[in-house]
Amino acid sequence: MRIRHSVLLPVTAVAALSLAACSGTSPNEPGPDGKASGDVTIVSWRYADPSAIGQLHSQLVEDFNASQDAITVTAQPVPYPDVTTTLINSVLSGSVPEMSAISPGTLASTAEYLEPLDEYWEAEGPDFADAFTESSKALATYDGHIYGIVIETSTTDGMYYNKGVLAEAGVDPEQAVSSWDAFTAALEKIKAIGKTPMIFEGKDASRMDRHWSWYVAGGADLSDPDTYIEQMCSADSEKTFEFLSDLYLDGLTPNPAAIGYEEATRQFAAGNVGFYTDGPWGPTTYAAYDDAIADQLGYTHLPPKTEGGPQGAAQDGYLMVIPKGSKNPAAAWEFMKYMASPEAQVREAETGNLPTLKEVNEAPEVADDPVLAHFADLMTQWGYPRPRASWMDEFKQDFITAYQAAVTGQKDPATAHADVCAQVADLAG
Amino acid sequence: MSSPSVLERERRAGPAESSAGPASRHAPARSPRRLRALSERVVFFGPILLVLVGLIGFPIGFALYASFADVDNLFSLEFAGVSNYENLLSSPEDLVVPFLNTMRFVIVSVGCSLIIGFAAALLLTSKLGGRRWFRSALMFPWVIPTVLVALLWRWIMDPAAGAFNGLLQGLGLIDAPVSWLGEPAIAPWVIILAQVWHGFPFIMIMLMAALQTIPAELYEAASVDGAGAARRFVSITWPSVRPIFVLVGTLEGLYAFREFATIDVLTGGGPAGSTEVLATQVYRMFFDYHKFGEALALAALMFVLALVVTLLSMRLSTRGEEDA
Repeated sequence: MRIRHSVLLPVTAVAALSLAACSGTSPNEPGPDGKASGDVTIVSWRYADPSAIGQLHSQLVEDFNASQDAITVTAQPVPYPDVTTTLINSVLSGSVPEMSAISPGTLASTAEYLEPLDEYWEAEGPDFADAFTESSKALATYDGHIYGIVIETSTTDGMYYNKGVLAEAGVDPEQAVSSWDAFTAALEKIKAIGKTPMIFEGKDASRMDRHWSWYVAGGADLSDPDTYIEQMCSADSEKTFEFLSDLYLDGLTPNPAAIGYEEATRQFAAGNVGFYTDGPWGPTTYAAYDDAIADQLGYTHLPPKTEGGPQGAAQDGYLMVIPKGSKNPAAAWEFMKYMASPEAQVREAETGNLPTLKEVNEAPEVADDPVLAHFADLMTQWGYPRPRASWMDEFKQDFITAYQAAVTGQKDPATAHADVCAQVADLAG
Repeated sequence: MSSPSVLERERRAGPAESSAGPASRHAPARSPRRLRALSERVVFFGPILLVLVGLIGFPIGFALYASFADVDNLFSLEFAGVSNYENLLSSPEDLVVPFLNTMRFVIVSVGCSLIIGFAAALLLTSKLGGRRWFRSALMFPWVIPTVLVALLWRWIMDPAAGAFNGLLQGLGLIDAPVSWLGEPAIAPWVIILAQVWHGFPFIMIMLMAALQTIPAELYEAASVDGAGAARRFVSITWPSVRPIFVLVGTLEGLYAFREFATIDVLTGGGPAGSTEVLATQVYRMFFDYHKFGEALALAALMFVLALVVTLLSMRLSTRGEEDA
């Protein structure tokens, strides 16, 4: 009996997919010109998020349902790490929700399973499209098609610091982030007082999303998917790879190979760490571990390689999409528009997320919130869509494995970088 | 030419024909009995056979077919020959490390589990005081679900807040916390430790059952004949438990061979690929890279490998019984 278990996972997955695939999919009902009519119930997958933003999304669903009689939305939470897999499996099995939330960073991997929504955007007229920031529309666009509406946007490339730790070490935060050399010197000072200078993540492939902007600061141009590999394998990027490896090899950060987001935020919130990079939701996340950190928090930007040099702020967000086979895309579109409405986006901003409507970005809820304003400014100045390609998961896995090999002494950084570049050279075909 | 004798005719015809005479004499009486027996078998075994074929046979057969089909193109399932295998084996270096890691994980974890399990079984079938309490206590790891075991060990080995670092620092054995799961030289052994801790009680309980079937008179007689403890172990204990030993070793080997949850939760295959095994590789190809065809081809190869090892183990076990 046990022998079957060796293939249980793929067998079960494939059997489930194929069996379900035999059951026909429902035809798309009303098109972009049509309106959802009558009592329509649609299913919307949202991230399983117990924080304030997750609660807000649940509240927005209830408010939408109460605001009209034609459409009832049932929100189903899906764990964030499982969203892509669950979505693809649902499309292959023909049992799809009417709509789902995904990360724009996964759009290249999921686009073939999604309905392009160009016609829906066009049907709303030019004013509708003009109301959104260009960057948010770029996040929703892949290969010439727009696949949904980004209802909030963010970057994880802000630098938080602990004021108490930096004061004790005699470090001026703004001077520390003026260049990589200054930053390294500041970390050394923090190390000298027995504190943890910095937390840096490298536990798994998803942690590469915390690395991209260091490569941008190091000279890589990650704005063009066709040149990702070339840019990440340049001489400049090799130096960045070495710099990031040296953070651990010089004792300036705990072993990144064992640190993911949970470990990083827990350690930073404990109050003995100098620097940590994160998104605008950082303060509420750390306070959930320990309230005391709130008074100690400061925030700034990532250090450029040289003073006045380029920085990076990889943009991602919350993209609402319609999977292929959705039974009622028109109703899903109506709900998506509600989630992107000014009223909903003001509430998004109030819970610490950056809106995607231009008018809300200029509203007091954003402009008067110093953390949101700081991150909005970072994205305005240095924003670029988080790198994405159909082969990106494999690229990130290979690159993070090479980084782990470098920081743990399996290979010297230059060799690890050269090896991984040889490995990924053909990924893009 | 003389006609063949009756005996020769029976030999040529074989046992079926040779027994036709007496059988045919009883045919009218036995046929209904046979039919009844057959119908009883169908009634008793048919449903479970259908369930087994439906739940196990079909998925295996389907997956094996799918490994030869076009599944990357939205599961079109058109026959595609060996293209999935060609793609998989086009970069064999990607499979070497996971394969070697798998072998290390299986051999070391099963070897340690067998040794510890057997030692514990011997101890708990002796006249040790409080052995009933120990039996219950040692079963504890086995009843915990695998994912919880992995989460438990992840917390124990956490670099910042883990109990193991705290213990070692408390004893003055280390000055600073060690990232046990972040070091490629250590992480595989932590995973093996977790696997052994979770797996040895099963071996212990099976071997205890085997040990308890050995008649005490055998040991008494051997003692009277002057056999020492080692001689009694070699001549009585080992031959008695050997079939069960091989069986549980095979089962544990198969458990370890397809182990995924412990590794995924503890390290996710890292750091630097040091704990990447074939099972995590299949998962990564299927669910992360969406290379469905290659994942199925690798799963099929794992299936064949496990099948061969199982058949060899069964052969070994049977030969042992024949030798005995």
